Amino acid sequence: MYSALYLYIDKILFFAATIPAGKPGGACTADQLTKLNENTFIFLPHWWQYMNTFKVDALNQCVPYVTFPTSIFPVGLAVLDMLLRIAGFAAVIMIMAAGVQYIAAQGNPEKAASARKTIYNALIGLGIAFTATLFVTFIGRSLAR
Amino acid sequence: MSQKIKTLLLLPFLILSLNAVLAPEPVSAVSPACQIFVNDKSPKESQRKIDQCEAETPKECLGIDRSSKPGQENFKKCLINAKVDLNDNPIVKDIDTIVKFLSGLVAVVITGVLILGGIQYSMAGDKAEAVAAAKKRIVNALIALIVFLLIFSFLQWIIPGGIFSSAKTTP
Repeated sequence: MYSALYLYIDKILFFAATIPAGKPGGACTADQLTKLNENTFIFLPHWWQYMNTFKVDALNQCVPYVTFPTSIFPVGLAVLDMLLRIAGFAAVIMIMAAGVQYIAAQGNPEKAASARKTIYNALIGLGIAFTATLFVTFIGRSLAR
Repeated sequence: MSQKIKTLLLLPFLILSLNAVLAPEPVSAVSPACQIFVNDKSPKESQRKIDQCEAETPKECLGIDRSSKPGQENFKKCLINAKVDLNDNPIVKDIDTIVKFLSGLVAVVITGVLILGGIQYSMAGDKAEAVAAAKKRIVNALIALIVFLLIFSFLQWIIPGGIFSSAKTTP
């Protein structure tokens, strides 16, 4: 809680190397890591999903430890993953909407054709988003290891 | 125009006064608990002092000038073994109180507005405008509720550890 405020307190991180795991300033234990990952928002990953640097802050919580040049890549990958998942979600919603359109067309060939086209394009978009997510997840997990 | 200037002039004072209310009490510059390590030489003595530090006043180990040389290692040990609990920190406490108060207030206000809208609806009779106004009030209250819930879960998601749930973690 309010970890960002206290993460950089020099008093604690000053001698971080000597601190045992689970203590403020030290490395996280497995329990703390699972606790960090328990709050999820609908279908999106956390922004620290692909990071591998975590520390215990002054409130005895595990928090991602962000350093400027090195953390850009994993955080950027996580943001990319979020965007791709949003894109996939949008594609699914488009397919549903177009299906409703298709039902509502009632034999009108023009409407039916436009609905079919929408479904087709949305399926292509879904496929692209899904494949891209697979790639991003693979790269991110390889990095985090 | 002049009103705006007045507001702008007032703003720093307002912020400063708020700061004065919320600011933590200064930690005493020289704390006896860990300052004893500063001029320390014999290991037995320092071990005794470490034990004393752990036993008696662990929280006072924070906020002390650590720049001294001889007792620094022992001081670090004292700090590591000390059980730090920033939930007792005045800033955290104040933020916690404010957040809890405001999020409770949201529920109260939304309930009040819903009741008000219901009363308005039942008092409207056959006037179409009044009915529309009451409906609008109720719908706005529900939108506020949904937005609050969404923002709540969004913050829980984006802030590591969440903001509401895990204040009570102790070592």
